[in-house]
Amino acid sequence: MATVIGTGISTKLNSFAAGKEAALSAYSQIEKKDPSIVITFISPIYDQREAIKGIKYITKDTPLIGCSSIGSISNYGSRADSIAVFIISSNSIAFSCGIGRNVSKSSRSAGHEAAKQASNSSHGIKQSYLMFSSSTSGNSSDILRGSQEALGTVFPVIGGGSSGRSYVGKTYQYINSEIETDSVTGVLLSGDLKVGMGQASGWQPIGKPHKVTKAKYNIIKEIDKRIAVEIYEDYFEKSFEELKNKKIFDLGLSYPIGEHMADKTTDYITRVPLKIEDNGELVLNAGIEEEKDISLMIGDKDIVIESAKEAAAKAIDALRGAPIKFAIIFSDISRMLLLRRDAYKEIDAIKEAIGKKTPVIGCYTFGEYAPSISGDDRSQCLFNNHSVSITLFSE
Amino acid sequence: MDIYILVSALTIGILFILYYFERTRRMGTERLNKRLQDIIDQLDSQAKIIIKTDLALNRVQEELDRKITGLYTLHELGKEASSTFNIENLLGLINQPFVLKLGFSKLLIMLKDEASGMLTTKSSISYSPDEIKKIELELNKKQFAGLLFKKERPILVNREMEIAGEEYNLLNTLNIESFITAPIIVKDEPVGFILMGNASIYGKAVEGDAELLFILASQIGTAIENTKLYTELFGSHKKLEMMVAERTRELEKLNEELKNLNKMKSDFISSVSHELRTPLTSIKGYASILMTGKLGDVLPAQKERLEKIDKHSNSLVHLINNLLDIARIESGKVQMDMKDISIKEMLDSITDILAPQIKEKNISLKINSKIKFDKIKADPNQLERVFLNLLSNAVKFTPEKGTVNIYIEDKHDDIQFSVEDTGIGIPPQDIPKVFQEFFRADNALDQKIKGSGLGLSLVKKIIEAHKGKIWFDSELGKGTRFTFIIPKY
Repeated sequence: MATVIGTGISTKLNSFAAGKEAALSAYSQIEKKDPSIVITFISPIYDQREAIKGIKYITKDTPLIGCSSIGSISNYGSRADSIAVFIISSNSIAFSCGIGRNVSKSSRSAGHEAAKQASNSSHGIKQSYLMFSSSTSGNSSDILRGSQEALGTVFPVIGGGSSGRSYVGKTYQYINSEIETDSVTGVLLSGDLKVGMGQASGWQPIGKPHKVTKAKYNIIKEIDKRIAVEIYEDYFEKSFEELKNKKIFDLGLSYPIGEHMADKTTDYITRVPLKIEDNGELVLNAGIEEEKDISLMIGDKDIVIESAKEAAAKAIDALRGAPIKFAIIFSDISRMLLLRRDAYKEIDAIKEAIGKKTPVIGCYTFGEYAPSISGDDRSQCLFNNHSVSITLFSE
Repeated sequence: MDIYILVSALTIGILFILYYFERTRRMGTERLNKRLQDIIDQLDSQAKIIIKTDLALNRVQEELDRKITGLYTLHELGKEASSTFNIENLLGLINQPFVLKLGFSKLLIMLKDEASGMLTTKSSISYSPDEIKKIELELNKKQFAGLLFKKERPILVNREMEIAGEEYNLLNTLNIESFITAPIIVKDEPVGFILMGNASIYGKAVEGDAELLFILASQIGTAIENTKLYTELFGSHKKLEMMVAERTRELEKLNEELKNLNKMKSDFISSVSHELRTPLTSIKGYASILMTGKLGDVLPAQKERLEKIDKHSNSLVHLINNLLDIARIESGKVQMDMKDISIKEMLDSITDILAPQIKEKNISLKINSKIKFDKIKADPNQLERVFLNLLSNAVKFTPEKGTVNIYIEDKHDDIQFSVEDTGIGIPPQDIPKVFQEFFRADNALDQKIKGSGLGLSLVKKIIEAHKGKIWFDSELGKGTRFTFIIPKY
């Protein structure tokens, strides 16, 4: 068989009706087979509880996992302000879910707890862990570390940060009928299947390199022994007050801070400043280490679309010729904001590479979990921003 | 000692040379480092320019994207909107896909109620009925209307703005992250507003949206105006239609009344005629018996009176028969007895009957036939009455030595007969009354000539019973031509 995927998208106004419509549409595509798992991405403009009720009305007791997202990625392309429901029916893949709460208190513990729950109830060969975390609370790198403690350092972890109505607003994570905030939910995929992963960003360093001279967890205190915020004040000729008044997030999404990964590579992982403390410290959405070389990063539409092709090529290579059954794609919200009307081009470029009829499950995330850019598919996964991560599955 | 001095001098010399070279090398490295640093700083400065340009380009690109999408979407709406005069239909076109295409997720179109002056929601997207109620209550309570109706500029608000006051408070009222509004103007007066916004921070309303929103508001304003005009026009049209219908109903009612009256008249005539005919037959019978002398000798003076009784009785019987026939035909009691008849035979028979009068007045009677057949289907007795009436009238009203012509023409499925005389003609004022019962023209000759005034009325009824038509042309002093047409079969 033995994996069938149904996709339903709804933009109906009524949250319950939209959830029900999307679920019904997805359900009708799995040819009356028993659903194994429901993956859903719901726009934060919807009443989350009503939307989940609508989905559950159709999918009943089928395990459900997902998160809030400003847009879905599917075979229908890129859709903002929608409810996307993906129903997987499979007798070759086993799905086991887990949840970790209180990310803001201890991101690492929450990540660990979710992965442990999923791992404990899994059967068969563990292949890949799909994780959705709160992006506005806690430290995403720590959440990942926690999950790696439970699953293994080089275990393939994919997924990303959920997105809300605003960068400070709540984001939602779903597990079955529960709608959580400040949490991480995950699903472990086990079975006799092959997994190929690829990730690329396309954001390039601009300006001279700088050094993080003082940092703690996800807070940069000093850069080049100067107050951290000065890097944005200098490059954007904006005052501290202007930047503090929420502008920093807007700028940070388009011009993030890139951490140079290793001396011999040209790869960077990016971090987005969420806010500026009164003393000028930059609070990032994930951790950063002291003494690391950093640069301001800039994105370009063409390079970003090229990077999507690059990520798809890496994932295909990693499958080593095995036929692609389905794909899970996460693209950073910054890419959608950069590409705007051309957002479909990124999806088209990926579909062109993996096959236009390959079922696609995905959404726009605020940060992505994936293997390191320069490494192969079995290298340690990292939390990155501004990237597109593509995971291909073959039975 | 000398050697010691020499070695010391040499060492100092070498050290000095080494120091000199090291100093030169260091100075070189420093110069190089400084140069490199300058280049890096220069590149960094260029990076700042690139970032600045990139920011500006992104802004322009975003604005351009929004405008292209907006214009395309408005163009599509314009095409649809031009075919509707109904504001509800237009508002129906501004639906969720339309709003999403413009880059928004929320929409409110509110208009001021003419009577109460309160804002009421005409269209909304992504708001529940409960939310709408709450928003209406809030906007009307706080008198936001003045603010939202501002004609000079759009209202653009997002949470990042450093503004305080009512505009900013609207964000909470509307449960929204950013919005932009434009007033809807009708005849230079603001009557409402359109508001679009986003519940998510990722699609903020920007100043570039104002132009599109103004165009949209203007389209809605025009549609409202058009709807009003159309409604007024439609109302007038409906009123006119109602008046016409009302008048038609009145006419139908009158017509029905007339028909009833006519029937009553016919019934009355029929009844009276029957009542008259019975005693008249007796009178006529007794007069005949008296004239025979069987009941005693009849003096010449008595005979003369009895003959007058008989003659007038005959006239009365004829009159009554005609009246009865008209009544019967009108009421449908008499069916035409359709038979094949020979036109020639029928006309010969009639001219024979009228021969004495024709001869007496020395009138020339001609039959002009253009037909190649002779037989038609008609009621022979009734058609004879038609010709008899028309020809006797023609002879009666034609002076001596005049002419009477009969024309017969083939008209496809019909046959057309005309009886034309060179008589006195019919005065124009009498023309509409010619076929009315008991009508007699108001001229001296007509007064002299005896008649009941029922002949032409009967003729018309007989022709109509044959599914035909009759009409005439007349010129006073020159003559009259009666024409009738009936189906051949």
